[in-house]
Amino acid sequence: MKTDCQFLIIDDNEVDQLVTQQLLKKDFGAVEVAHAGNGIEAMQWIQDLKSNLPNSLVILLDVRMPLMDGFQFLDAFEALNEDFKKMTKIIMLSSTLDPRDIEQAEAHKNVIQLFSKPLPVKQLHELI
Amino acid sequence: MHPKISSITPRNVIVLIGIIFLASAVLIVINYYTILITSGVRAYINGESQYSKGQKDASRNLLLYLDTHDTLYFNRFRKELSVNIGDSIVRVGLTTGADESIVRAGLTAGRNHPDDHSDMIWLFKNFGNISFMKRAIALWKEADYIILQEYRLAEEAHRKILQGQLTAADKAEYVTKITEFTTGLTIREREFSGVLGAAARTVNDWLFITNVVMTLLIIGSASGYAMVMIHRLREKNADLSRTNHELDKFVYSASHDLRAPISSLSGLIEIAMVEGDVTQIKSYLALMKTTLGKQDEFIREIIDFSRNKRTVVHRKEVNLDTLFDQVVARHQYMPGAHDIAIRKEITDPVLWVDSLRLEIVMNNIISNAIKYHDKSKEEKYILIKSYRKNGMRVIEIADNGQGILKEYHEKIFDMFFVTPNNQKGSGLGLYITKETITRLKGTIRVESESRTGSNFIINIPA
Repeated sequence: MKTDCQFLIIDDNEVDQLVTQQLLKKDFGAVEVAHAGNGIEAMQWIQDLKSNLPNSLVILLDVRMPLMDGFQFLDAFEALNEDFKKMTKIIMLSSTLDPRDIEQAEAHKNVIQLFSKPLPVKQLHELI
Repeated sequence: MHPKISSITPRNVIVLIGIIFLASAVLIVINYYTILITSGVRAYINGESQYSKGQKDASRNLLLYLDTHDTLYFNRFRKELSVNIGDSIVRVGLTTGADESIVRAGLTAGRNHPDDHSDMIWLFKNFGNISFMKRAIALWKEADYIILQEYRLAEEAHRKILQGQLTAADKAEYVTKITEFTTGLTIREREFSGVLGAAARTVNDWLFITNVVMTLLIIGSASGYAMVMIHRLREKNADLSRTNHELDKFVYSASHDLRAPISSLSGLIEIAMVEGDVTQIKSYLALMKTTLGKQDEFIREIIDFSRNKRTVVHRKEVNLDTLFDQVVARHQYMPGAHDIAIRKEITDPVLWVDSLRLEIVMNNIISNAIKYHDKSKEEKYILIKSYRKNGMRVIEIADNGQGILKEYHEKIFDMFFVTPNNQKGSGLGLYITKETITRLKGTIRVESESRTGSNFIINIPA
């Protein structure tokens, strides 16, 4: 089951991308981790995936990004087909302190949890 | 912004207040003089009735004297007629400009109330040549002449009675004449009161109209003034809440940007701690250094931002050539800085400008030019040009770096706007640059093409 799990990190900060990837690898072992610099790149990645769907997908989504931020991505995600949405888990990952962001993330039906950076891997493991 | 608000200038407010004051002053003056006039008119009408009563009583006593030859009646006649003679003295005195004490003595003799004396004198002096008063005085003069004739007739009759020469024919003639005098006087007395009464009513009508107009003017101006003030308060409130909102946004964005590198560092430490490979650990350390450098830059920007907001503009002599060199030297350790050629085309390098603010501007533009240089180009350069044009100082900072896409030209000066690139700016640098130039009463614009380079053109009074 573990190996069938695909990760997608959506974050514009390359250092944070690296950190999150390393943390995932440390805990989940050999997993597939993909990167996207913002919401648009992430949507493109999903489009390209179509024919080659994994068993399950975990998206680690940053809040603040250029061009298409985390919440705009969530809106775009909403328009995707139900099957894809069902097998996808979205976890938001941010260093935001803005209560409006936190509230919005927690209230969003497609978001499982908002974690503060760096990624608390153990908690993530328990969650999925 | 709002058409209604832009029309409310401080000058308009002064005009409104001016109208209120002027209208109030006019109202007070007009009411004061109207009271004086009506009070004077009332006193004259009252005086007229005393005059009329005096003359009628005198005539009655004179007729009794002619019948009875009793000097008691003659004395009463004289006493009553003294009222008319007193008024006559007043008229002659005021017409010829006699001493006021004589006039006042006449008024007292005319049985006018002492409190009315001043108003009567004032009205005569100031309105003596005005139509209604002129007519009244003319009637008064005619009446006085009749009184004089009656007095002379009485003296003649008295002399004849004392000498026992009064015949029945004389008596009959006197009675006829006295009746004629009374009739003539009655006509004049009525007209006198009528003229003054009509004048008082006209004055009252005008007073009422003036009061209404002035009151409306005052109410109108006061409401206008109140509306202006309410409008201003609303504007101020809107401004304040906008500022608060901006501040809120700024605090959260800034705290996020301050916290983000800490999260990154803490993540890097976490992965470094479990890493055994020294080379890998070193690469993490290098990333930590870059992250720290960015945070340091961000803190500097925040300080520049608040400095520009709070400090007053302080102009002094600045050498642009030297300042530019200093700024470039400060950035020499940035990655890639060594490969970039610095060119200068500065005519007349001495400027009269706020040096601190000019430095903030130069720092931001130069550091951007270095940060976003184009590695693919053989000869990388930054060129500063400065010259005077239309009384302004123009500073152009051009480079052949990565350039900026047309669609971002408008946005790059907005707070927290970041273009998608691999350098991750804070979105404050160019915002601060523009704010700072605005404080210097200048302008900044960009000419740029992606992959070709950028040129920032600054216009400042210096």
